[in-house]
Amino acid sequence: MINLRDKKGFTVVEMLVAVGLFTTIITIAIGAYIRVLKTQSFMTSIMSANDNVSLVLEQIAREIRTGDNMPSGGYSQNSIKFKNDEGDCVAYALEIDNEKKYITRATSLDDNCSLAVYSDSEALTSDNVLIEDLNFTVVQTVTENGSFERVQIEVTVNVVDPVTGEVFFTSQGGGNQLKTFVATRKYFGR
Amino acid sequence: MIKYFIKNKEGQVMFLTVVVLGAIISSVTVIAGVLMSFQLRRSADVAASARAIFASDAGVECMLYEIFGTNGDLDTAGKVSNCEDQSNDFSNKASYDIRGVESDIVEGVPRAYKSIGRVSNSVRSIDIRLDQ
Repeated sequence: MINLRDKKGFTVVEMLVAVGLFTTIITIAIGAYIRVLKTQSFMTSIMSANDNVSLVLEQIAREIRTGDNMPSGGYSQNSIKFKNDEGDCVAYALEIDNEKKYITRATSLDDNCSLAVYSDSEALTSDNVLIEDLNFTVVQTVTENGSFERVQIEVTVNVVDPVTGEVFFTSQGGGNQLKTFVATRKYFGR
Repeated sequence: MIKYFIKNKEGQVMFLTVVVLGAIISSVTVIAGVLMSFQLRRSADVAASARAIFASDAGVECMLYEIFGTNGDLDTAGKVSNCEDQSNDFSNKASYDIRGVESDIVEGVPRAYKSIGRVSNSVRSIDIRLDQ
């Protein structure tokens, strides 16, 4: 016959301490793991948004480089109209639609860009990108060789969850501000 | 009294449990903290990297503009002088530095240029070579 009273085991206090510590460890570990996963997901979103905006900026810069009929010096707005290499009037602008902000491109076959009616407007930035701000500033220099324009492009980018609409700030101060200059190349052939 | 505590070994299990699990908790916390800091640093680098690349690109554009558009010249440090006069410290804390590559100078004129864009610790550069 087995006498259970002779068996030695852990005391209640020992069991409580062990179970309590185990629970604490598991809670900390799972919490840390979830935070790492969230950060990883956030980082992927930032990279995706940056890639998207970088491509858009490259497209704008390329068209400005080979373009003509830029606005005159001192121009500073969130849109720009000019004539591209193929002779079409092109407009890049910051569009706001249902609290979504994105960069659009529109074209017109009208010869006079300033009066042209632009159509076929299409969004260039994707749904996970929130364009907080867009600005084109034209600096004009007049030399003996002619007048040349440099266009400063400023874009402030944040990441947005396309489903929930939640905005993630990619940098301190409200967003990642990308800034570059593009010079027109019309003088290359002189 | 001391003899009593030494002989009474029943409390050792709890003591060891507390010490070992305390060490494990500390280790897990430290590792998680290090991982988090790495992740945060990388995410900050992604944003800064994009800014540095575009600043570097602005340097190349400035050089092309000065050389082909307004006949900019190099100063004694090999920098494109007029680009230095421009405001190359951007409001987004990025900056660029463009200069001719010393090892590739033909008749006093650089054939290659290096534009370095900087944002805090992120540095990105673009090289451009002008073939005749």
